This record gives sequence, C-alpha cells and structure tokens, in this order.
Amino acid sequence: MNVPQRPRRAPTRRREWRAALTAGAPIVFLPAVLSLADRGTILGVPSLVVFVFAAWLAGIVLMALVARPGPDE
Amino acid sequence: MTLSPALVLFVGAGYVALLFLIAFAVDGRTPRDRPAPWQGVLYTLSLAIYCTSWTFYGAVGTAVRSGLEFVTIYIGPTLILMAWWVLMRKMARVAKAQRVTSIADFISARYGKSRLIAVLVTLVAIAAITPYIALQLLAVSKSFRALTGEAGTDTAFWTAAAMAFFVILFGTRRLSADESQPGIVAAIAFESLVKLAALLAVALLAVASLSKGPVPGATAAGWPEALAAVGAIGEGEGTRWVVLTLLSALAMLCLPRQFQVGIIENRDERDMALASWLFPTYLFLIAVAVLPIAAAGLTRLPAGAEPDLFVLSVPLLEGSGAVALFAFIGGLSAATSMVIVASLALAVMISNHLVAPLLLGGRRTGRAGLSGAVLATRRVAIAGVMALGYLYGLYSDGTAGLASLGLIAFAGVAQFAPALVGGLFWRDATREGAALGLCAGAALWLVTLLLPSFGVGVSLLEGLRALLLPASVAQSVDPLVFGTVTSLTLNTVVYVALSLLGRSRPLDALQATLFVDALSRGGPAPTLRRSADRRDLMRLTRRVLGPVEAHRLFDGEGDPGAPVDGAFLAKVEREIALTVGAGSAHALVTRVATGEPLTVETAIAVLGETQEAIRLARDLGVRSVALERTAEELREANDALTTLLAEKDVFLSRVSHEMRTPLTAVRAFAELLREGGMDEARQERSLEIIVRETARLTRLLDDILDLSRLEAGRAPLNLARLNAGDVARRAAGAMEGVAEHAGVAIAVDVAPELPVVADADRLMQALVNLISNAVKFHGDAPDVTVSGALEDAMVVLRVTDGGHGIDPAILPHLFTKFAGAVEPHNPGGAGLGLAIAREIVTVLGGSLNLERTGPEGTVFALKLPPAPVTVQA
Repeated sequence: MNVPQRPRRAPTRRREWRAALTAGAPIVFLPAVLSLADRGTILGVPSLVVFVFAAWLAGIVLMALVARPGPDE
Repeated sequence: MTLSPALVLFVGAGYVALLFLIAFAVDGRTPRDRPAPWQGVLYTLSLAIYCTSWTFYGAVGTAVRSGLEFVTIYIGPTLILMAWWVLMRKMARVAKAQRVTSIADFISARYGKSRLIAVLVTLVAIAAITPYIALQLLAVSKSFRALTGEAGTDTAFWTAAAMAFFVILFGTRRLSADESQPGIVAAIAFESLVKLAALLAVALLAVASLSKGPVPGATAAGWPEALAAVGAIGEGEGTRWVVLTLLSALAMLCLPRQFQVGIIENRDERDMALASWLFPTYLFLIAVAVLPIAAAGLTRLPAGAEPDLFVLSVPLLEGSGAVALFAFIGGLSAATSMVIVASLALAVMISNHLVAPLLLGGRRTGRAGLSGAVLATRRVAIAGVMALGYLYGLYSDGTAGLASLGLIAFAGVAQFAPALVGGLFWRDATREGAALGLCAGAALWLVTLLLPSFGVGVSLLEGLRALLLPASVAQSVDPLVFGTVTSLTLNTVVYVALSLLGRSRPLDALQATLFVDALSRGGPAPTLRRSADRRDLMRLTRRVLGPVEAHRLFDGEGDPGAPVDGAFLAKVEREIALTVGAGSAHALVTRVATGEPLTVETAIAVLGETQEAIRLARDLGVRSVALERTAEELREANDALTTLLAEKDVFLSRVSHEMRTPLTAVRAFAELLREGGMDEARQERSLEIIVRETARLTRLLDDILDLSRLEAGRAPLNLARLNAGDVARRAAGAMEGVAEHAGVAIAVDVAPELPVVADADRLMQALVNLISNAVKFHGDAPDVTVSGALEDAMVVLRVTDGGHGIDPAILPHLFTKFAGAVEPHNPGGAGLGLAIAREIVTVLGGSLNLERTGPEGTVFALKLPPAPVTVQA
C-alpha cells in the first residue's frame, strides 16, 4: 500500500536559514553598522562592546540551531 | 613577585611530557578507521590552534593599544565557520577524493596538478610561517623571563628542540592514507582546553583585582575608563577593521596548520557542523576574557607596563603564583600547539613539493620505495623549520609587537585565497592565472609588509606608497592595510585577467569539474583518456611505493599483457600522490602515460560513432513523435469504445424494457383467461390485447433481427427494376390508417417515373419507417408530405413533417441503433426505425440523410441511383 510521505521541508528551511546567516553575519560587523551601536555606555560598559558581543553570541546560537546537515546533504 | 626558574622549568617540562603521553596513548590505541568518541569535540578543539601565543598574550596587547580591534581576529574565523557548509565542506570532500596532503597540494591539484603552483605555495608558506614560528618561541622566552625575572636560560631553544622532537616522533612515524595524525590532534585538543582554562582563570582573577580599585600611576583611573579605552574603535579605523576581519577569515582557510586540522584531519562532515558553533563559542570566551585582563592591567599596573604580558603581570601583581604559572602553561600550550602543527604542515609541503622531485632523480629505492626517504626528508624539514624559526627569533630585534608579526603572516598566506576560493567556484580559472596572480601578490606582500618588518626595503615601500597613494594620504594610510589591499588586489586582478584571456588545458578543466561540482556531482570521477605500458607504470610504482605496495595495487587489475587505461592510471597517480604530492605524482605518471593514439582509422571510427549517435538521436526523436501520435489515436479509439460500450448497455436495457412491457401484458391477460369468470366481451378484449402485444413483440424482435442481418450483410435482396414513385405511394397508403389515427394527412407529390433497381419490399420498409416517424412526430402540422423527383442524376424521395425538429442531443446517434437510448419520447418503439432504413438504403447503393430539422419541421432525403436506361428491341 502506498502511504503518502510527508514532504521533508525542515532540511530545506534549515539550509535557507544557514544561507541567510552566512550572508547576513558579515553585514552586522561592518563599521557603518557598528558606528550606529556606539551610543555611550550600558552599566559602565561601552554600548559598542555590548552590541558586538551580543550580536556575536546571537550568531553562535542561531548557527547551533541550523548547523545540523540534512539527510540529503 | 617572580617565580623560581627551576619550578617554572620543571612544570613546563612536565607539561610537555604530558603532551607526549597523551599523543602516545591516542596514537597507539585509536583505530584509524573508526572515529574516536568525542571526535567532533576533538576536531573543534584542534581548530583552536588558531589561537596561538599571539592570541593568548597579544590579544590583550592589541586591546590596550588599539581598542576593540582585537575582536576582528576572532570574528573573521566565526564568519568562515558560519559558511562551513559551502566552503570547508567542499574543501574536505575534494581533499578526500583527491588524496590531498597539504594546502599546496590542494591548490596544485585544482590547477591541473601543477608542480609550479605547489612549489610557489610552499615557498610563500615558508616565508610567512617561519617568522610566525619564531614569534611563538619568542613568546615562550618572554613569558619565562616575565615570570622568573631571569634571562639566563634559553627557553626558546629548548622549546624548539622539544617541539621538533615531538613532531618528528608523532608526525613522521608513517605515511598515512590521509595524512591524519590522531595522536597530535589529541595533544593539541588538550592544549586548547588548557589555554582556554588558563585565560579564563586569569580573567576571573582580573575581575577580582578590579574590585580593589586603581593604583596610583596606573594608565586608567578606573575600570569604566579602562573599558572605554579597550572597547572603542579609533577614528578612521573602519578600513583597518574590515581588512583585519578579512585577513583573519582568510587565515582560517589558508594557514597551512588550519588546513591540516580543519580539512586534512576532518573525518566526518558532522564534525564541521558541530564546530560551526562550538569553535566560535571558544573564540567568544577567549575574547570575553581579554576585556577584564586588559582593564585590570590598565588600572592596577603602572603606566608603561608591557601590555603583551598583562596575562602574566596581573596574577603576579595580585600575588597569585599558581594562576601565573597556569597562565604560563596556557601560553606554552598556545605556542607549542601552533609550532607542532605548523612545522608538520610545512615539512609535508617541503618534502612533497621541493625535495621529493629531486629524490625521484634516479637513486635506487628499498622495499618501502620512496616512503622511507620522504619520511626522512620530513624529519629534516621539521628540524630545519624549527631551526629557522629559532634563528629568526635570535637575530631579529624582537621589538615588533606580537600581533604585528602574526598579521604579516596572515597577509602572506592570504595570497593563496584568490586561487583557493576562486578554484572552488570558478570553472574557467586557469593555472597561469593562479600562478602569476600568486607570484604578483606574494612579491608585493614581500615588498610592502615582510621586508619592511625587518627594516629592509623601506625606501622601496615609500616609493610605492608615493606612486599609488595621493600625497595627502600617503603617510597616514596604515601599512598593514596598504600592503594587504594592494597585494590581494593585484593578485586577484592578475588571476582573473589571465584566466579570462587564457584557456584551460584538458586536465585543468577536468580538475575544475571535480572541484567546482564537488558538492553536487555523483558517479565515478571522470578521467583523462590516457594509457600506459603496464610494465613502465609498475616500475614507477615500485620505485615510489615499494614492491609490496605496488603489487598490492596491481594485483587483479586487468590483463597483465595489455596497457592500463585512464581510470587505473588515475588510481595509481592518487596512491603515489600520498607519498610525493599531487603535482609530483602527476609529473611522474605523465612520463610513462601517453594520450590514446589517434590514427586516421581511429578518427574515422570516432566520426562514424558520432554520426551514428546523431542518427540514433534523430530516430529517437522521430519515433517519439510517432509514438505520441499512436498514443493519441489509441486514446481516441479507447474513448470511442468506452462510449459505444455505454450505449450498448443502454440499448440492451431499453430493448429488455420494450420486451418486458408486452410480455407482462400477455401474461397478465392469459392468467385472467385461465382463471375464468370473465364475460365474453372481456374475454374478447383480453384476447385482442394479447394478440396486439404479441404482434408488437414480434415486430420488435423482427426489427432487431432485421438490423442484425442488414449490418452483417446477410439480408436477402430481390433486386428488380421498379418505379420508386409507386413504392412511395404504396408506403404512404399503408400508413394512412396510422396517420388518420394520429390526426394527420399524408400528402404524396411524386414524379410519375422514378426508375431504380431495388428490392421493392425493402425500399417500402425504409419509407414506411420514415413516414411512421414523421407521423409520430408531426407536431401541430396538419400533414406529412412524401415527395419524389429526379435531382442531379439521383432519384430523391423526401419525407417532410411539420414537427418541432429533432433534439440536438440525438443527432449524433440518429441513424444508429442507439438512437432510442437517447430519445425518451418515442412511444411504442425501440428506436431502430431509422437505423434499419439507413442500412436498407445503403445496401441498395443509395444514401439516407437528414436534410433539415428545426422548428419548421424535419426533412429526410432518401437517394438512390436511377436505373440504367434500357433500349427496347
């Protein structure tokens, strides 16, 4: 009996996220973007430092979510 | 506070001994074909050799001198790891398929296994990495001096000697199939953990130190001021920020040691997926640790303290000798792990691309072929690289910051990037473009960055800056930015231009396919059409791999007397490449291989095959069209059959119904008669009904049988010359009673003489059927007309009624036996009349057509050929 299979959408979506992350991450660390984040201090820590490390950490977390290769890769 | 030199030496020596133990244990026990537990984590930690003593000590120095710029060194690799699925994965697949042994081998393999490119990459790598190794040895020496306050012991020498011994012991024991070194990888993974832990320990101590407040004479008045200095990007430093990020990203791909651990040592692509976030996490923690250490140094140490040594100075200031010693071990880990892998990677490149071609010059080889000589060469190369690094450190002034030497090395290996990355994605890139681009870029790097770092060629650099930069900015542009941008731009422009102008050789094009399509192509790898004499190839293989390996390779491979084909040649070439590198292997195999000879006969045969292929393709196209047409016809026939089948079912159903109606009546009245008790008049009426219904039943069966006979051509005909007009009149007369009963008159308008040859009874039957239909469906019209005339050399009899016309739905089936099936308003008939009439007329050689139908009435035209004129004697 032919049982209809669910389409494998998750790996494709993961690939799309991965591509978006790869393309978008360098933009976040461009000097023009960083200059927008340079706005005084947050609890004594320069806002630029907070932004750089927060963006970096966010990138790591997102990568951890989408890194796993799909079955067709 | 200082520590005892003996203690530091003892702990340092003990730590190195521990590394030996770890490498020995793993190398001896881990099966090479089975991934060790925690393989992904080990792989990730081995990538951390990226963090050298420059990172360990120099990052704090960079943070103090240049602010937030220090994070670019970590962000670059993070960006590359995020693109692992399209870059590193592709490189790893190609490296495995091509049996690549080093980055020089990789780039050379892409460009037709060019030995020239392999040699160029090796020379640039030696020029860039030797000072970098010196930097590590200097860092150990400086940190020892900072910790003990003594300069007497030559720690750099002993470190170099111990590392050379370590690499020779574990890195050159054998030539493995994939150049993987599990023992060394385990040791450097352990070192990566140690240096992270050490830096975090110092960072925690620095946080505690910050709470004590600033000391008089310190650079910063408090931690907020210190963090403001460390967390800022200088005015106009945007370009430098981008260049540093780019350089550190490219270093992740192009540094020979990173290629060794990231590509050669990779066993499973899933390890890369894990490393894509775990390694950036490692870098993130290192970068976070830099901030409090720098802030503590700026607020707690006197102004003028060496920022590159804050990692040691801060614990010493706080009186924590244990943390200081731990930090020293961390720095030693950072330095030694880099030195181990970098010297091994360089030694492989030197032996395969510089020395192996010379070894193949004609000396006799033993049972192991050239393997023994290659391993010996590597040992010498390791010792040589280490000695060069030590001597460089000894005789250079050592005043350059740790970071600047590292960045110059980064810019040097970045010259591989256009050829490396371009070769992975650009099919048309050529070896000339790659080689000349690399030469041009490396030459400019030498002039703008490496030589000036020794104080050599400064005037040449000044002249170049004056030539290329506007006078207003010539002095202000950062030397690293200038050197990197100009060398990489020239490299890329030459690479692209020459590739666009030139044409790939066949082998280059084939290799380009294997590289560019590495993630998408399947099936066997394409090979060049080459052949070689089996004995020549065997002789070559014995010389390189030794007799045992050569026989293993040749056993069972084809006919011993026949030449070997291109596929086997490619296999032998890959095996030889493990010992001498892809470039040298290709050069060797090319000596004994020839292109398949192309005689005139072969050329004609190839031409014939091509024409045959074209003809077959054309035939296939034609057949395809014919098949499509046949399929369409079959589809139509099938549709028609399906329709006929449905009509037949309906017809049978209708005939059954028509038969059952009279049978039911006959049976009912017969039973009444049998029961008796009926008066005579009722008996008479019942018998009349029985007779009438029996006659109807008989008519129906007669019609069916008649039609069947006519269709089968078995109906007997009595053909005779007769006047069709007389037959028409007789038919009209026969139907007068029925017409009168229906309230309609039959008008006859027939020419006196309409001679035909026909069966009079059959012709009358056809006309009666037509008149019967006309009477049945006369509508409101008072009469039905039967006319006859000679028209266009045909006898034409017309039956016209004034009814409402025939339902369009019936028209397609009008003259078929199925007409009754679609005509529900045909009382007392099976709907076979018109079908029988047409069959009769057709048998008589004429035609029966519906001439007109509509609200004004319906006209049927029966046409027969006139009888030939007879001449009476």
